[in-house]
Amino acid sequence: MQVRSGLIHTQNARLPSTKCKERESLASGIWAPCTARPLGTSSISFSGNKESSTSLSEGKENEPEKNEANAEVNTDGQNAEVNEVTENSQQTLTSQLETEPVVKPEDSKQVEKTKSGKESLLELLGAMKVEVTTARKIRPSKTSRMSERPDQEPMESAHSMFQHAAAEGSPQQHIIADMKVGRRPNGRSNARPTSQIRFDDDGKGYTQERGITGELDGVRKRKSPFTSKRLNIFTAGVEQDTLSDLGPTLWDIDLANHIVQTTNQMPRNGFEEMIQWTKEGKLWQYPINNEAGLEEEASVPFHEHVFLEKHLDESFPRQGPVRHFMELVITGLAKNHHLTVQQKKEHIDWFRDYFRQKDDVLKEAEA
Amino acid sequence: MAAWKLLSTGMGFLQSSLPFCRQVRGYYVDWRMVRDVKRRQMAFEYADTRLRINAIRKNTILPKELQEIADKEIAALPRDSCPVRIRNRCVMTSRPRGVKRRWRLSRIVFRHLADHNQMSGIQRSMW
Repeated sequence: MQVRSGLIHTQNARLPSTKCKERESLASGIWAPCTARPLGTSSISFSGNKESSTSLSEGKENEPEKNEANAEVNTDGQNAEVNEVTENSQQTLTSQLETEPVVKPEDSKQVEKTKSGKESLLELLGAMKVEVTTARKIRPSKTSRMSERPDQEPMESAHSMFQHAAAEGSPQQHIIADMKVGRRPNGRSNARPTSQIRFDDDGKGYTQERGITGELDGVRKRKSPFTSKRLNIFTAGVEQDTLSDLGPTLWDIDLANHIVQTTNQMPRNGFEEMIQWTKEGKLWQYPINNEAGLEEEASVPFHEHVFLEKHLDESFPRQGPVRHFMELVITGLAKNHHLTVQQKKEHIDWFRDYFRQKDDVLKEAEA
Repeated sequence: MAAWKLLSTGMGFLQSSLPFCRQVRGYYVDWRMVRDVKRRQMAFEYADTRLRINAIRKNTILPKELQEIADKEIAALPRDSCPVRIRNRCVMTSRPRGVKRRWRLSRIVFRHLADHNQMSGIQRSMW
């Protein structure tokens, strides 16, 4: 573990996010294979089996992708850390590779052996303080490998299912075949430790420097799940009327009331305060509507406002000062365009009650 | 009802009847403002009644006996229900005099806000 102390000093507290694109010069690259795997097919334990686990992960990623160079850097980087011989890693690799069902181990093994010398030299030159970008290398290749593996596994396990479906005459018979394995752009596959010496293979004397802009563009250009072709695997569920009740039950209302009372719904800023006032009715609604509270009144026909004699006919005397007075009242109400019909009726009803109470007084006065 | 509302919003009156409610507190500037608010609410309540009784009173058609009775009735209504007792006080400082009706502010507060650019469309005049 003393060998690892050289790396631990570069560790930071923060863990990389699964979508981290920036270059991370941390030994948290060791942590990355554990955190950055959303669909981890193998549980990687932190403490003990780091080396074997990382080699396991690298062994897995070696199969379909041809990133042996990266894998070699990883494995040999790990070896350099632990001061083990490269054959050890290769032995672990081969042991892991044998356990894989769908694998072509022979090619990867041979390519490893040919490239191991050059890469190990690089790592030794790079010394202990390696900016291990295992996060970047493992993840893109892993995710791209993930895209392929689910294709292969359902092939084996669900192949029979699709055979049955085909026998029954399902419309999409070549769903799996239609699944196109896209080459994810391994944007950061060329990311190397800055201290590492890069070889230009054609002797130009310089290597092409690529920044992260290409990778960032690739992020946007990638097809979103909504743009690609529909697979028609799942049938659209029939809409069920789960709540075909008469409306919110009393319990729902009670729950809503309880929530409103317990939560603190103070307005956070002036806008929310104004919204609250508008809902309460303290603030007018903009743009200003002159008939704001009178929407129902618009549908009332005008003759109900103007011709109010029909309310006069019951229990009012036909002649006399009272009738005269009430006709004046009705004329005034007919000309009033601020009252609703209901308010006018209440007016007349009040007068009727009042004159009923004062009947004896009126009779005395007449007599 | 109106009095209860007033008490709840009166100066520094606590209302902690329910355990999970915040204290209901509203601040009117002084007690005169509180009384003015009370009068306004009562005037709103009795506005219709007063209007109808006054229509009977200010009348040449109905017999005078009826009008006298109507006089007595309107005098029997609570004193705070008449709109005459309402005073247009300044909303911010409760000042009874020097209040501009459009803004409901006393002249001093109006000047203060206008100088600090808080009044929309108000500008120092010079001509």
